[in-house]
Amino acid sequence: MSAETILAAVLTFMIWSYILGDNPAFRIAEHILVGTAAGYVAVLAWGHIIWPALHAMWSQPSPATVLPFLLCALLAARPWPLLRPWAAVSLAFLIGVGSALAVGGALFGTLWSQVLATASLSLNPADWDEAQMFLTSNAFWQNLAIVIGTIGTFCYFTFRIRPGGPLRDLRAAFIRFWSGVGLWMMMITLGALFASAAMSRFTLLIDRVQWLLGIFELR
Amino acid sequence: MAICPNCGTSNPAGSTRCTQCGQPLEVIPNWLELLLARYGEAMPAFEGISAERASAVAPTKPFVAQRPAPEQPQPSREVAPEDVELLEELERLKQLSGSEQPASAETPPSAETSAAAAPSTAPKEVDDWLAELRALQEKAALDAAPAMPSEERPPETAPQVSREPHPERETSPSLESLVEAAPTPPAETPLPSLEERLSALTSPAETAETEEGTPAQSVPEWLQELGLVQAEQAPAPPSGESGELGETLGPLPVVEAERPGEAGEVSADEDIPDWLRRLIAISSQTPEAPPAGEEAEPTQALVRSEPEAPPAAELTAEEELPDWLRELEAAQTARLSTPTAPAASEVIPPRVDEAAKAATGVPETVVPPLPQAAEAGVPAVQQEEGSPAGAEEQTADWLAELEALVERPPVAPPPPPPAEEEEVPDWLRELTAEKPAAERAVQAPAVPEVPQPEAAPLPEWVSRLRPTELTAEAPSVEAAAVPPEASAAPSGEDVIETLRARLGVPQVPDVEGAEMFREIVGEPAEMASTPVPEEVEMAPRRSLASVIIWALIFAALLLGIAILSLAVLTRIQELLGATAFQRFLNTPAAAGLLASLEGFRKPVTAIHPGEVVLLSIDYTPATAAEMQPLASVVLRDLLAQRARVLTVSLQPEGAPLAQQLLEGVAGTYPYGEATLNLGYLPGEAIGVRSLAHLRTRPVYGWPHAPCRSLGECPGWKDVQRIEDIALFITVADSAESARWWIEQLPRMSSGALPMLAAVSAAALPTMRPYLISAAAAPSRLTGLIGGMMMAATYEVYTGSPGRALDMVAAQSAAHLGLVAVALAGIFAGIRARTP
Repeated sequence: MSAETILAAVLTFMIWSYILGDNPAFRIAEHILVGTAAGYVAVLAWGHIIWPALHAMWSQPSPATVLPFLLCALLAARPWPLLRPWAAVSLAFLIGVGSALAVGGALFGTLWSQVLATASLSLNPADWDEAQMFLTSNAFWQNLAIVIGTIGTFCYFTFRIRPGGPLRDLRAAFIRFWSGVGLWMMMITLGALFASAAMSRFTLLIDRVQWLLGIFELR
Repeated sequence: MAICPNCGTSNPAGSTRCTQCGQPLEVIPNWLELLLARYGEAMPAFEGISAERASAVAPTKPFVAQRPAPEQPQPSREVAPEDVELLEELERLKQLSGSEQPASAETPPSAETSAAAAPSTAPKEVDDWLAELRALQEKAALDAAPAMPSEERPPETAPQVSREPHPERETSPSLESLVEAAPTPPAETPLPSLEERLSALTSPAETAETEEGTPAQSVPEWLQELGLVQAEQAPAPPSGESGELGETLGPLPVVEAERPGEAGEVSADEDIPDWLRRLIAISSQTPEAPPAGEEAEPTQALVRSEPEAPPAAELTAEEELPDWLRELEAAQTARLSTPTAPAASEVIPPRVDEAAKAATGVPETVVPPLPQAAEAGVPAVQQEEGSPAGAEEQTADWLAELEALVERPPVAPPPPPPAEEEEVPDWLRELTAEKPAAERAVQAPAVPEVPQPEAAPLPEWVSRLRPTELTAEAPSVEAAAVPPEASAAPSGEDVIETLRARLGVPQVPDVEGAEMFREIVGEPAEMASTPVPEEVEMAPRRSLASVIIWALIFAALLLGIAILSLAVLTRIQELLGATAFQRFLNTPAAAGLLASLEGFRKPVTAIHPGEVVLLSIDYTPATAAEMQPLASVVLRDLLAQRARVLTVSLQPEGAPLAQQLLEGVAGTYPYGEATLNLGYLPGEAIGVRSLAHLRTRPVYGWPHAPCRSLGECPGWKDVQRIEDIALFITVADSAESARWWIEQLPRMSSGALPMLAAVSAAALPTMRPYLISAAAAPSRLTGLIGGMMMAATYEVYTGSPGRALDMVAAQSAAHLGLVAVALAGIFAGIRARTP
């Protein structure tokens, strides 16, 4: 058994000691984890981001290698009042590029594709070759659940304004019914998410216990 | 006619005992007998007063023996601590409510001004100013009390009054303002005026000088002879109105002590509210006898003149208490803010007495002496009129004591009428409930009318009791005219209730806060004695040794459970292990798993040898236990297809994990030839876009890596752009990282790059919609797997058992445990909701 294995086992127990409440052992292990992660990120940023960029700028000076450092210098000059307006250039560049990518990706990578996917779902039996397969197909029930869940969730988040007109009662009843459906769909979804998260964490515990049993040759 | 204080039966005049209940109508306390014996005088004959001794009422020792130092207000009465605190609270409330009062009360109202402001003699108007004075007298009493000379203050009253030093001169103007506020009654009323009574408190000569226009013959002889307590000895009026007047006029100067010059302005044009009438009637109907073993001061009988209250019919007022409280408070605030100025108020105008006459309408009224008038007002008059200074001082002292006796001694609180009980706060009810039953029994009987002895000349021994010598030794003869029940020392709760009602202080809505305050102030010593140890005990801190011990115990317990579970694990391994899981995959229930896996593997198997696959390792060491088997099985499958694998990571910690993976298979698939780690892509979504310059991406681990950048590596020169990638696979522990790839990568690859995702069980439900939408939006996510069970399935499916398959048994057991817990929770919830 190596020293690092023993250290890992000790740290594992120190972390698990939190089950008894907050205590110095847990805090020590926690601080070690946070400090190690921060140190690692700092080293990584220098060794894999900053230094290669500097090396590229000096070895192959070009706008593509110099401009990023210029923006970084402006951003670092923010504490000085005279240079503060120039720091806004770097911030504008970062925020503008980031927002453009995020909005574009969310709009066309998530929202639009989801809308298309939901709109393309079919509940028509003609889309299945055999009627028997239609009723026993998982895809059908899956599509049906998606359609119901989507409508219900949208109705749940509907801004309810007192309806007018002759069909106001019908509209109110429709919204009320589908709001209830959407509420239950969201509850089920959140329950499934929670169960999945619990199982994911159980996997981590199982792995750690098995590892401990392994180092003590208990399995 | 004499009214029995016990049963209220009307008895013929001169009766000494009630014809109905047999109780003595009036008693002469034994302290009077003691005084008589001290001065060697014979017992005077009082009409309607029995000569039997009231041991419970009479003091056991002379007044002077209990007199405290003149400048040192000493508590002379044993009052319950909670009562004192409650009185303090009330005083504070009073101070808050009366904050708008003028600070200086030195400017007394002028007699001319007050005379000009004399209202009519209508009974209603009389009630107005009386009501106002009543409402304010108790309020001012608490403030003016500390300034009172405590020489002659009865022991019971000192703790309540000796808090704030109050100059004596400040109390004098109040008397005059009070006098001004009084409506002027007809002068021909046989009732002795207030001025007369006040002047009678001084020497006869001074009295004669003080009286202005008031016929001297209006003062009874016995009152003049007594000098000291003529007001107390004055026969009580037969009607209840006289009792009301006496109750109201008694503390009037105290009220005006804080608001000089205001009475004349406010008393004339305001009506007395019904609540005040009701309170007056209640208070006058409930003379309380002293509790057993408690001595009552004779001077408290001055206050007991209040039982001479209006008929009980007045008690049934329809107004609710909060309303009058609000009205009264508002009226007080408005009045107190009125500037007061009249000067030369040292002279007591006769209008007070006249007003009293007009209000009562009776020829003779036993009115409690005006305490503050006796304290300050009369001496002021004496100074103006050139009285001897020594006599003034002594007179002021004993008058101040009388004032204190009237004001300070907690007046027996009237039992709230049924209509007002609803307004009584809970804490007052509790306080009332805490009183001993015996005391309640004594205080309970209400005497609406108490027969008062008629005015009669007093012997010389009474005159010798005048305050010019030893005023403290002269007990109030008023006590003799008061029934024993009326001389009872009221409890602190009753005092508080009465003060609250008279001051117009609104009932504290925060009943809990009041209770808490009372509890806190009730236990000052205990709380102050041990504050710190309790706090330390409440938040004990575990020492390091104890924590380590507990940690070791916990570890030992955990290991014990693990060891004991080995036998069970063997069986579980057989039931839920790899073998059982393989059997499960052959069942139709595993069709979904296999379908997902086949959908995931379809692009993988379509990879041609030598094609480049971009594998993103987007998980951290925290989730490596779950993600590492999944990434490993995917990597092995890719390498088995003879694909070249490039690894990147959007997580800083992902790069070394990817390196660890690649080094794990480096024996079969050399690093740098079949695999290469490009490291961390900073910027999250922007980092994905940075793959546009794929050729220049630095290699992770350089200079220990075979090359600096991808373009410089010997076997990777054909990979220049993202389009050179045949397949992209992300192994992510969160949906966020996978979403970055899904949203950004298709924009770079023109939609031709197939994407696969192997995520954790927690991110699987979130990522599933992206898989479904792949049909509508090509080049999106085409394969998705997640969780340990899918990793085990992958291992079984590829025929390479690994770490995931070893965890299947424990994972299945955890599933069963979670299902059991969920079912238990559901049943518990149903049972909890079942009535």
